[in-house]
Amino acid sequence: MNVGSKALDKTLVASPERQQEADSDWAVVQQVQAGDLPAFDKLILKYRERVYGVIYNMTSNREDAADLTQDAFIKAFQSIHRFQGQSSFFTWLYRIAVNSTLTHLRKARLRTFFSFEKINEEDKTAEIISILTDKSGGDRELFVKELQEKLNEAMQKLSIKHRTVVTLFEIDGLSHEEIAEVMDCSVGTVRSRLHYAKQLLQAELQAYTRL
Amino acid sequence: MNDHQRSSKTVTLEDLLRIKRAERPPAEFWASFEKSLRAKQLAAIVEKRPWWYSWRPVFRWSVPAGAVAAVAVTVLSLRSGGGLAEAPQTGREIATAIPVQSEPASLERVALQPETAVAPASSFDAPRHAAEPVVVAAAESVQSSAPAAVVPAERTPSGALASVSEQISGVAVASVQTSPVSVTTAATESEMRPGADFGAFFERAVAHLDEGFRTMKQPSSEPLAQLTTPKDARRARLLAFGSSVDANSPMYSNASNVLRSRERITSHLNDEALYDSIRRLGVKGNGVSIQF
Repeated sequence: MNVGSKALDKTLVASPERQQEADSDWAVVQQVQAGDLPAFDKLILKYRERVYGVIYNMTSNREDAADLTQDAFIKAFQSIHRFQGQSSFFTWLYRIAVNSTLTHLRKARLRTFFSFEKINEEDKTAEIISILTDKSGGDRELFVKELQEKLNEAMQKLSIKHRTVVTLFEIDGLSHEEIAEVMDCSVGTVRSRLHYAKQLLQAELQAYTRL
Repeated sequence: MNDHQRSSKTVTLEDLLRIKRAERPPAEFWASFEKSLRAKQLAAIVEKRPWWYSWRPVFRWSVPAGAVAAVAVTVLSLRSGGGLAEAPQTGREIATAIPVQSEPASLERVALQPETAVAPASSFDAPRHAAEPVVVAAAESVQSSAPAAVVPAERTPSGALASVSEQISGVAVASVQTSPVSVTTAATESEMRPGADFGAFFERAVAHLDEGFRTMKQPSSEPLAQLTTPKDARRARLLAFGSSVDANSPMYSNASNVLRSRERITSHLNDEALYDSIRRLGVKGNGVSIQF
């Protein structure tokens, strides 16, 4: 497990660790603000996979996701002197990334070209894929590819905002409060969007959940 | 986990989304990612964006809109409040008009302007005559056969100017009977420039005239200076008639002949003064003669 996935696991645990993480990030940010520019690489290394994951699941295009992730880090680097530590660094970075992606998606709404990443079959994921393959009774590799396409299609049928909420909550593991902060809306709005998005996804993917 | 257990387990939506979470790029992807990120980072450091870069989308629409608004405001201000901007020029105009009183030809040049109303200072009412030229004159000026000063009303900034003009007219009348007191000498070059402090200029001008009035009061008591010719008396009578006719008054609204005669009188007075001044000047040998 690399640094990015470790960080991803950390986001799913309770808030004291998140607070500790925010404190360590703030220390690094202060170093960068003091002129130690290479210190920013630590932040890139720590968050690049998570940021890429969020953007990838919002765009369903790996090339766009790579470009937008780089742009998000560049924007964060350019405006890091304005970061005052009022929120955690990762919330601030996520906000930059999500806003850039939303702008990109609004511009390229008509373009529906998807490119997939390979599924990293770890413990739990491998088990789920095995269950689904067994139930369908087909070739595992073909089934995984088809499942990926169906999942992306279902995600793309959601509106941009609903997709963002689902991505941040279900895939990246942020809390409702953190999503509200990133998306600059109320927690109630986040819950409402999440509920609605899940209903739509459930309807779209019922062929797999009923297997 | 055996096959039976697997088949009995249900897959939830969260499980499917967990598969999405497992979609990750390979390790080599991060090598190229870091390379291009480094290049972008260097470019960002070298090419520092200007401060207005983030305002680009706003500027795209606001600059043309702002330019249109600025033009509109300029046009409106020129139409409605143009006099305020030209207030110092009004002061200069008054300043040049006052010494002219001792030079009838110059005075007539001012009086010959179209839409010129002649009114005594007692009937001076700035708001009522806002659309007409303001005539700075006094009852005594009728006797001295010269209106004191004529200032176009559309250049009059406010009622404050009217009161200042009244003060000046009182002082200026006295100066008519003696040698002229140039208000322009009271004003420095900087005050005469457009945009200079108009109030300060007037204060200085009034103070200077007042001083001149006090010093020149003495000669006016001479018997010759107090003499008025029959021509002057006639002119004063006509001027009094002309000034007493108010074109806006309901009494004269239908009396077109009265208004016409007022215009004729005014024109006659102007022409008379003009020719009078020309008649007085003459050439005799190598010199210029002035007839008194």
